[in-house]
Amino acid sequence: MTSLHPQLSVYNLTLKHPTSSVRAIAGSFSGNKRQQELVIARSSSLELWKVDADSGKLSKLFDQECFSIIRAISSFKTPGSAQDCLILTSDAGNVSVIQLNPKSMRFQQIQNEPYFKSGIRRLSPGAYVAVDGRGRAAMLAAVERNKLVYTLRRDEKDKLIISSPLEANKNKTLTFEVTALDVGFENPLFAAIECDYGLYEGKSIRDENGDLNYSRLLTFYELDLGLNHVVHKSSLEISQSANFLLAVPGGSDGPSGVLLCSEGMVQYQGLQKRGHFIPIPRRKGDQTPRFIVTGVCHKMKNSFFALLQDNKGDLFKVTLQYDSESGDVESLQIAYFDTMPVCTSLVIFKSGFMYADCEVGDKYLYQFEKLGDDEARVWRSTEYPDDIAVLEDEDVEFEVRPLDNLTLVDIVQSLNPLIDSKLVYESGPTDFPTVVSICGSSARSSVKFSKYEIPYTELVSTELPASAEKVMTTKIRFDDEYDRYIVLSFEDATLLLSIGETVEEVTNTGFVTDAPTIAVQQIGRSSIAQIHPDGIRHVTYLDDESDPKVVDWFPPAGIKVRVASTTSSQVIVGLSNRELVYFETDESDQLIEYNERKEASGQILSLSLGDIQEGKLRSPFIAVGCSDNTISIYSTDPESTLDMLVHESLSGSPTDALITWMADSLNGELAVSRSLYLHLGLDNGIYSRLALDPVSGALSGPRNIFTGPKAVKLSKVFAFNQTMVAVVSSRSYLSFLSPSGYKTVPIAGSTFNSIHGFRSEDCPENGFISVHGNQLTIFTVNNVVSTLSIESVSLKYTPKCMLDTYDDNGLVYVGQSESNTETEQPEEAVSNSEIEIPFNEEESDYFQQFGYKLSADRTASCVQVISVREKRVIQTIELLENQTITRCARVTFSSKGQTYLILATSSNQRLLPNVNDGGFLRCYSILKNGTLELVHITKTENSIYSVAEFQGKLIVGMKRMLVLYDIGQKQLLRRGVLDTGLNQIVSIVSQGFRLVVADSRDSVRYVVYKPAENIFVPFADDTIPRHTTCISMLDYDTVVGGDKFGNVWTLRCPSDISGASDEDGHGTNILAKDSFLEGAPYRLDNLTNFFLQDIPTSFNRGSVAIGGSETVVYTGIQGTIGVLIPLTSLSDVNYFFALEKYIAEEFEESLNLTGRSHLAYRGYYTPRKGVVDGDLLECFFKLADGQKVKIANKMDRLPKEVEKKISEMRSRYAF
Amino acid sequence: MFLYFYFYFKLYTNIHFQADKIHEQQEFEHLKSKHIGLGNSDTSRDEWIRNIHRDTYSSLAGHSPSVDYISTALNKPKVQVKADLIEKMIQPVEPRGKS
Repeated sequence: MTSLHPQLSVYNLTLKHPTSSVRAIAGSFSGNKRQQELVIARSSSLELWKVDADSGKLSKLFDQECFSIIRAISSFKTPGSAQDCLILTSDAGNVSVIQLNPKSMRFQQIQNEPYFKSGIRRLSPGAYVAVDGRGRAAMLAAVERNKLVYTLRRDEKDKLIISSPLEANKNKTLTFEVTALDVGFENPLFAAIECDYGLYEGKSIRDENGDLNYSRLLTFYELDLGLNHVVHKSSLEISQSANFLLAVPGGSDGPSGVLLCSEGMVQYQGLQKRGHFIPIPRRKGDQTPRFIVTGVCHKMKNSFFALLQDNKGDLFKVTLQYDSESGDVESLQIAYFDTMPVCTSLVIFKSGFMYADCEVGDKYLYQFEKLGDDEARVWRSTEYPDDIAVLEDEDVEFEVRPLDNLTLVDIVQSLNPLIDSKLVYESGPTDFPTVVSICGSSARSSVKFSKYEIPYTELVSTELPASAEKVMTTKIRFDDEYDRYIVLSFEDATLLLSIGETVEEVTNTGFVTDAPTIAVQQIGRSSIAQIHPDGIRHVTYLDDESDPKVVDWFPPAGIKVRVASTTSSQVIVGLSNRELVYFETDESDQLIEYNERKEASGQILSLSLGDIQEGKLRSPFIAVGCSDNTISIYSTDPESTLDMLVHESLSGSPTDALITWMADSLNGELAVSRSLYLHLGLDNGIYSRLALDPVSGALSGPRNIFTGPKAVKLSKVFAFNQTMVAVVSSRSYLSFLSPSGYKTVPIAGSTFNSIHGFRSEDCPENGFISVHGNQLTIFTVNNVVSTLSIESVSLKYTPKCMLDTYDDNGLVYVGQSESNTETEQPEEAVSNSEIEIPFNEEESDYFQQFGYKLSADRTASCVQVISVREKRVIQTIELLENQTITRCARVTFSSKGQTYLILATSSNQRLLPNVNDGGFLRCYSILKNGTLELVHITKTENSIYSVAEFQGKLIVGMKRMLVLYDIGQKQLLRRGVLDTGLNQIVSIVSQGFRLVVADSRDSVRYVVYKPAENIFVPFADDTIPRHTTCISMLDYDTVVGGDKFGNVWTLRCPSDISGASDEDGHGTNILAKDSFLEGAPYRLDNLTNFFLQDIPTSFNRGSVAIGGSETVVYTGIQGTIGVLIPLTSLSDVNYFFALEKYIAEEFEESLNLTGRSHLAYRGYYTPRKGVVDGDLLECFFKLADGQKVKIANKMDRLPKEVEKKISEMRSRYAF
Repeated sequence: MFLYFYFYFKLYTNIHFQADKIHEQQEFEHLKSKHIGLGNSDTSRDEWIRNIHRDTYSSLAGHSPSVDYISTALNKPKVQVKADLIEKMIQPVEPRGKS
C-alpha cells in the first residue's frame, strides 16, 4: 500500500475494453423465449449483445467488469425454466452461476462455490466447463488430473442449487478438450480427450525423425444420478492429433454421441456405438495439415446439422443419417460450406443469423441465405470403411469460392491483437487525439484510427442559398406527431421548409421572412409564435386551405428583440434596452403581455424558460444571462412574476442558457429519475451544467467542460429515450447520461453552426438537423453506447512495428512480417533485395477472405507507408530473400544532417526455437513526399529487437549487446558497443546521455553514455526479473513499462544516484564501484505496480481530453486502451485510496460475479502499489442507493459529491 | 528419567529409525500424489525441471492474453497454440540417457 507520502500515485482508467473473447454464447438470458441474446465473455468482463433481426445489426446492451480472469464459460437451462443461466470459472477458484437480471440489466451471481485455490493453475479445474444438454450436471476439468462434476437442480422455491462436487480425478493425465453429450434424460455423460503422460515417463515420445509419437484417449464419464457418483465408462485410444469434440443432439432430437475431430479427419463416436469416418476436405493444391478449430451444432425443428471450421477458415457442413428408432448412426456426410476468418466460437441464432467471433480483428455477423443443400461434392462415410482409408484418400479437394450460403450483414470493429500504437493530434494539441494502432494479423491486419466521437449516419444533405445561422423545427398543431416545418434563420431572412415526403420551400405561411428568426414555438392548439428582431408574430392556422390569421406585437420604437425563449404557453423576450417582456397564453390561445417589464443587470445575452412538467401550466423559472457575466433566475409564479430568485456571477459571459429536466439514473436504456438542470454556454468555450433546485431556484454543483475556443450554443434534443443537450462550439457535442455518469461526446467530424432535434415519419427517432455554412444536413445517431469511432486501413501482413512521422509529413510507416508464408516472387528476375509493388484491391480482398498460402519456415515481409489524412496506403515495399522485420526507427544522423528510416530485419528466421542467420539494418531515406528509398544495407551477426536514435546516431540492441552506429557511404559504421549481460534487449529509450534498456526477461537497466571515453556505463537496475514488452520514459529518472504477464509498473532512479551518474564525466567512479549481486552497482525504486490482465504493448504520453493535462496512454494486446493519470495532490491520493477501499468492500458484497477479491486481482503477481483503480471507482454508479450513502458517510461526504469527484476524473483527464 | 530413556531407546533404535524412514517416504509419496510438484531433498533435477515446465506451459495456456501474444507471433490459430502448449506438458524435456 501507499506510504504516507507516496512518490508517485496514478489513477487507472480504461478507455476501451479488450475485444478478444473467451467465448460467445447465444441464449434467452432475459427469460423471453422468443428473444435470443448474445453473451460475449472477454477475459475479464461479460458483455450482452442483441441482434436486431430486421436491420441485421448487432448492438451492445451493456458490459460488466468482473475484476477477475474468466477462464471458461458455458450456458445452461434447467428443465422447466425459460431463462438461460451462465456457469463460469475464473481465477477466483470458484464456480459461479450467473443469471441476468432483466430489470436492472445486470448479471447477478446466484451461486458461488469454491473448488480450488485462486489463480490459474495446472490442477485448478476451471480450464474447461461442459454442461449436460438438459442442464442437469456440469463437468469442470483442469489441464492436469482434476475433474469435478456438479449436479444442478432447482429447489422448491425455484432457486438454483449446485451440489457438492464429485471427483473424477486421474493421476498423470492431461486434458485437451471436454464436452458434455446430449443423452436426453438418461444419466449425464461427458467425453474428454486426454493423454496419460505416465505411460511415457523415462522414454522419449519422439521417434527417429523427431516427430511426436504417442496416443490420446477419448474417455467417457458417466454421472450416475441414482448412486450419485461418477463412473469412468470407457477409454478409446485415438489419434494424437485429436483436438476437438462436438456433441451431437440426443434424446428425441438425434442419435447422441460426439464428432471427434483430428488432423484431416472427422469421426463419429458414441458410447458403445460404431464409429464412422469422413475426411476433412482439402483446398486444391494445399498440402499443409488441416484440423478443426471450432464448430457448432444447430438444431432445427426436425433435423440438425453441424458446422465445423478448419484452421484455414473453411467451414464444412456435417450431417448425419441415423435410425431414429434405435439411435444408430448410418452415415456421415461432409461438404464445403463457405469460408470466413478463423473463429473462437460460432454462434447460430434462431433468427437465421450467425455471429462469427473471429480470433483476430473485426467480428462479423452473417445471415444464412441457404443451408448448402445444393453442394455438388459431398463426402460420405459409407465410402470409407475405417480411418486409414480416410487418411489415404487423395480425392478430397475442393475449390474455395466467395460467400455463397452466407451473407455478411454487420461488422463489429475490434482492435485485438493490438501490437503498437501512437497518439496523433489531427486537429491540434488541444483536441481529442486519434489513437493510431496497428492491429490484427495476417491479411486481416490493419491500421486503426480510433477517435473519441459519436459517428452519425447522414440521411439528407442539401445546399442552401446562403449561410444559415440557425435551424429550428416546429409542429403546427398541438397534436402533431412529427415536426412540420424546418425554420432556417439567415442573417437577414427566414426560410421555411415543409417536411413531408420531400422537403420543399413553403410560402404563404404567415411568417416574417425578411428578418432572421430568433425563436419559433408551437403555441396553443394550432398556432405558431415566431420571434424576430422586430417583434413577435403570432400565426394561427384555422384550417389547411385558408390563409393563416396573423397578430403582431412590436417592441417600442427603435428597440429590437435580442433574445427569446418559449414554452407552449409562455414567451419571454429580451429587448435591446435590457428589458424583459413576459407573455402567457390565455384560454383563446392569445399571447397576453405581463403588465410589468423588468430591467436586467446588463445586456441580455441568453434566456431560457425550460420545460413544462406534465400536469403543470407553466415552467416555473426563467434563466437570464447578462453581459456583466451574471446569471439570474426569475420566477414565473403568478404571485411573484418576474421576481429575481437567484443572481450569480460567472467566469465568462453566458452566450446561451438552457433549463431542462434530465435523467439522473438509467435502468437499462430507460431513464428512471430526473432532475432539473441549468446548462450554460459561455463565450470562453466552457459548457457548464448546474443543478437547479425545482423549488427555490438555487444553483449548485457546477460541472464544467471545455469544448473549444468558440462561444457555446446549446439546444435540447430528445434521443435514446432521454433528453440530451447538443452543445455547439468549435465542435459539436452531445451531452447525455451514460451508465457511467454524464458524458459530453463530440459528434464525428462536425463543425456545425446549429443543431436541432428532428422528428419525421421517415426518421421517427434519434434524428438531428444541423446547418454548417450553407449546408443543411439531417442525420441520425445509431448508438451512444460505443463512443469510440474506428476507421481502418488494411495492411498486407501481420504488423510488427510502427513509426509515426505525423507531425512532419502526416504519415505512418508500418513494418509487417508474416511467418509461414511465401512472398509472391515477381515474374521478372530482380537483382535487388526488395521490390515495390502497386496495391491490388482484388487480390487484397481475396487474401482477406481466404488467407495466404502457408509455407513452412518462410517469411513474407513488407513496409507500407500510410497517409493519416487520406486513410490510404501510399507505398508498399516487399522485402525478398526471407527477411523478418522486427523494429523500425527514425534517425537523424548528425554527421549527415539527414533523416533516415532504419529497419531491422532478421534473416531466415525460424521460431520455436528462435534461430536465424543474423540480421540486417536497412537504411532508407525519406523522400519529400514521404516515400522511402533504400540507401544501403548493413549485415549484423544477430537479430535486432530494438532500434532508437541516440545523440545523432543509431543505437541498437543486438541480443545482449548494445551497439552504436553512425552512417557511412556504403553501410552503417560501428562506433561503440557494450555487453550488457542481458538476454535479449527489446526496447531502448533515451534522454540526453541516459539510456534505459529493457530486456525480454530481466527488467530494465539504466545506462549512461560517456562521450569523452566513448563508453556505456550501466549504473542502475531492477530487483525483479520482469519480462518486459515495452517501456516509456516519464521523466529523466522514471520509466513506465509493461511485462508479458500483464503488469504495468513504474521504476525511478534515486535522485542522488541519478545526479552522480551525470556528474561523473568519465564514468570512472561508477566503473570503480563493485557490481551488486551480479548486476549494476545501484538499484531502482519501484513506485507503482498494477495488474492489468492484458499484456501492455505500448505506452504514449499525451493528453486525451480537451485541455486536459498529460497522461500515460497504454494499449494491450487484447485491444485494451487505457490511461494512467498522475495524481498531483496528496489529498486526492488519500481520498481515492480510501474511497477505493470502501467501494471494493461494497462491490464484493453485491456486484462481484466471481468472488475474486479486487486487491488480489490487481496484485496478481506483485502487490498492487501506488495505483488507484478508477474502473472500480466507477462501479460506484452501479451500487444501490443504500450502499452509496454508506460509502459517502464513511468518506464524510454526500453521495452526489462522491459521484461528482469520480466523474470529474474521467471528464477532466480522459474520455 | 526412566521414561526419557525409554523414548530415547525407542526412537533411536536402528529398526525403528528404518521404519520411520519408510513411513516418512510413504507419507511423502502420498502428499506428492495429492500436491503435484511437491519436492524433497531427493527430488532429481530432471523431475524438478519437468514440474516447472509443466507449470509454465499450463500457465501460458491458461492466460488468454499470453495465448494471444504467442499466436500473433507464430501466426497460428489460438486453439492450436493452446493445444500445442498442453501437448508439451506430456514430456517437457527429453528424458536423458535411454531413449
